[in-house]
Amino acid sequence: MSSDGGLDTVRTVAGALSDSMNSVVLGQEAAVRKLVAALIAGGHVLLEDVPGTGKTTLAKAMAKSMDADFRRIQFTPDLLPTDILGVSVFDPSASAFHFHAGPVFTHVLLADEINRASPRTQSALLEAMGESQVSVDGVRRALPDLFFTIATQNPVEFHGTYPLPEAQLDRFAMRLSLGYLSAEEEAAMLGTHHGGHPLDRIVPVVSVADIVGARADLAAVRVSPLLQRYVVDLVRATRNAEGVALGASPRASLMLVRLAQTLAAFDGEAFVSPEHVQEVAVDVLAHRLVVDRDREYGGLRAASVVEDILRAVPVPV
Amino acid sequence: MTPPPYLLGLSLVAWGWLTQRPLAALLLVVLVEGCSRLRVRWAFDDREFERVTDLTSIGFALFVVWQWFASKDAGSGILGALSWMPALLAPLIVMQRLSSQGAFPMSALFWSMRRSRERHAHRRLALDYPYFCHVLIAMTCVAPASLRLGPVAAVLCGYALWTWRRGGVRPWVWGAVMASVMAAAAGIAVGVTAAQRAVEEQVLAFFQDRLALRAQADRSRTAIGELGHLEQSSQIVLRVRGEEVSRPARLRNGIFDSYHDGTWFAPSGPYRAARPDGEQGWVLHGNPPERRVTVAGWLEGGRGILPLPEGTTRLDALNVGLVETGAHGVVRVSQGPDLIEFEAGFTPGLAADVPPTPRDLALPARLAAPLQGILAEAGAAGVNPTQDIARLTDFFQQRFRYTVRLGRDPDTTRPLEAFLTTDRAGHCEYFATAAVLALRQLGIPSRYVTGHVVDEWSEREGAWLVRARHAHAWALAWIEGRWVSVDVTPRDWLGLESALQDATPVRDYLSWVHFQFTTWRLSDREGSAPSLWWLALVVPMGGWVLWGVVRRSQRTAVVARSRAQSGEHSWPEIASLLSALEVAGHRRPPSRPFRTWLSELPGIPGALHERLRGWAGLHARWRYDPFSVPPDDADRLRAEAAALALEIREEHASRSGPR
Repeated sequence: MSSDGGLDTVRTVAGALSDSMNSVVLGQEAAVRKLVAALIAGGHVLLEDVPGTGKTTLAKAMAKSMDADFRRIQFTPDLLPTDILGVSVFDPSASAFHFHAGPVFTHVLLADEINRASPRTQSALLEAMGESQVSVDGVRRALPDLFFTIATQNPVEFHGTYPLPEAQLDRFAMRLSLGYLSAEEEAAMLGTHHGGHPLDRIVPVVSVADIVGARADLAAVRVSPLLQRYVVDLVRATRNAEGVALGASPRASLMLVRLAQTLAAFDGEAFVSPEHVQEVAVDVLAHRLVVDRDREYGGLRAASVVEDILRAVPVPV
Repeated sequence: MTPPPYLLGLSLVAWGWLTQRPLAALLLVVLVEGCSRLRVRWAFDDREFERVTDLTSIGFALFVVWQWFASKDAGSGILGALSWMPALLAPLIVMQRLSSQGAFPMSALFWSMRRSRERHAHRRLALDYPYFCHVLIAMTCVAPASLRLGPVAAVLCGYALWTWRRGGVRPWVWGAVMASVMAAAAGIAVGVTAAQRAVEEQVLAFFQDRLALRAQADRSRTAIGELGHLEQSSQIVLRVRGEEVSRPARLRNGIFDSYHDGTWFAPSGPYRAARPDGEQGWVLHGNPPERRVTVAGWLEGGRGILPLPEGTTRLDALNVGLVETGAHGVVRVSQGPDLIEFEAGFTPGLAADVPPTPRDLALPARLAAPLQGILAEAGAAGVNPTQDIARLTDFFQQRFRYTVRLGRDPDTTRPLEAFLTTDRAGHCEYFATAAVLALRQLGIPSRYVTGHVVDEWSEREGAWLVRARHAHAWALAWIEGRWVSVDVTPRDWLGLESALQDATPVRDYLSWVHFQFTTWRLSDREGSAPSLWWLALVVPMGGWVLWGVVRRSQRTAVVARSRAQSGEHSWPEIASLLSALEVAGHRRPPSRPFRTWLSELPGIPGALHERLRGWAGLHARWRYDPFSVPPDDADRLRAEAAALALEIREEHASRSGPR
């Protein structure tokens, strides 16, 4: 449909990556599509679900499908910021401090069970995720061009969790839930596990350069003023929504537009349409809303607030 | 925050009911609520908002001025303007409701923000609640409805606040809290009203004692010391015009005959109406006047005692409803304007006043001894009244001193004894009282007169100015069958008074301007109903500004319409397609993207659905990426929409037809 060569690249890269991941994680096409979109759009993803739904598998499948560095940090209550960022060690032979880079210096970072670490450790990731750099001992160190964080967390009601602060949550482009598989898909999954773990069969299909290149091509996807206005209307509606103490930030509008551009490129379209905005709106907006405490106990969920807003705000046609 | 539905309409109805302006209220309800029912909106720009705000402000100011002219006094003029505020501010709320923005830019409302218009561009204010408050204020301007006002305002406020209540609060709890707050407010209001009344009574009592002269209409007493207060002020109270030969030495406004303990009393009645003669003429006495002067002065509340020369026989050009003469010849008027200017015809020396009564000889026994002392000292024997008066006058001139600074409170008991025996200094009231009582001691009937001397000529005004400090008191003596003025106050008193005052050219000038303006204002509204000449100026001006706004907005109107009526298309072909689908039972929810909705429509045959889908894809491109669509494709889009509309109609007809 589109004649833009750049967009074809985006489609190819995304297609290859998605196919590879879908071969491991069954029945999660929608989540895979969004995860890949976040990777190409340059946003980080928070996977939230009960244990055993395939969060880590999904993250690892993505990492293994790319020819890229992959590090995993298992967050525990005693984890320290230096365990993530790195530490300067005195080298007696050179009579100088030598910086040992932490696991954050990688392309794909899996922050497993992020909400089990203390807030201090969680916030060590703030700068890395927001600005693609870390400051250790007063020295700024840039992260690689491609730095993508997939954090997983158990729902906050679980034991031994520290809820992520709002500023940290805002740095995640989207929060995804995988949910349980349907009976057929679960049965099929059992089949795939028969001959060894499917993760072992995965080979890299795309390179870091492919992804960085695809990211640059996204600029070709046009966003009409009508759509910009629609995105702003949606985000502003979250700020005035009933039962919401804190609405979504302007960063949310930026991310929503960028992800909608990516999805449009996946569909081979050189322009964003409302469908693409609606597809990711809940994932991009819901985790940034702070629901009133008493309304939350009354059963109000941020996701349903955003869904209501999507139903209420008219689409520009 | 949008107000609850029809809040403004309801408040306007209440306003119309309380102020008894049902027609105006109905018109406003239709205008204000009707606008929000309209489906058309205009995209006004900020300058147009500003222009309409300015026009409304000018209209408001002109209305206030007009009300001021039309009503008797400034206070009721302002109240009148306030009570019409819902109508005067209606253009603003109507414009807001007709605009696609739905709120006023702050720069339109505040001049201070206009200079940095761009910086404040995003700051907007919805006028619904401010307008509601103004309607409430307008209701309160109507006193007779005050009993209904409280409950009505409470109900309206409750309704206005309903949408603001916190979620989770039960309606009955909210209602109970609201009701108790309203009840408390009503209680406080009753208390405040009572307190205000009490304070007003106290203040009134206080000032009535001090300023009895001001409450002239029914003045029947004056205490010694009252003129002393007035003599401190340079305020111009009267203006007298006429030939130099006609100038009356004094104008009098009070004649008293009974003295008791520092206070003079006049007979309280009876007053009888003077005989009208001609348009605005009044006859006080049968004799034709020898001289004429014009007197102009302020008339507080439209009623009061006229300052008149002695021997006044008739009044002309006096624009009041009623003229009455009192027992001693005092003339009282009522039902007049704030400022009166009339011609007094008088004959000096005419025995126009009522002859003496026994009251004119009454003496307080306590004062007999000091008065005898004075008379003996003056050498007045009581044989020849004219000679006695001359001696008495000389005596006071030489042995007494004029002063307004008594060095003690003039209200202390027995001030007159102190004046006669120890002080031998005082101001005109003491001299006049002493003269009256001394004459009575000699057996000559006499009265105490208050008024003003006419002394200061103003070139600018071409008139004699009478200031508050020219207030004076003197005696009237009944000699040889007529009343003669006897003024024993040392002759230098006026000079002493003037010396105490600073020159006040600016204040005099302002007073003159005020006088001229009021004269002009009052003359303008004589005769017919309040003139509407200013409409001739305002209507074309307002029309010109409004036309400018509308003309400019027409350009934006088309764009704004399509945006405001979201879900409808400006192309008739697409509108036709949509209506065809609606006839077939498909209506798009506003939040559903057009393309998704079209591709998922149930019950449409495969081929037709395929075409619809293709069309939807092109439409999305045309809508969200218009620059990438060549003109040919746009034409194709329209043509295909028309064709699809036709087919859908036919298909629907064929399905529902056979039934």
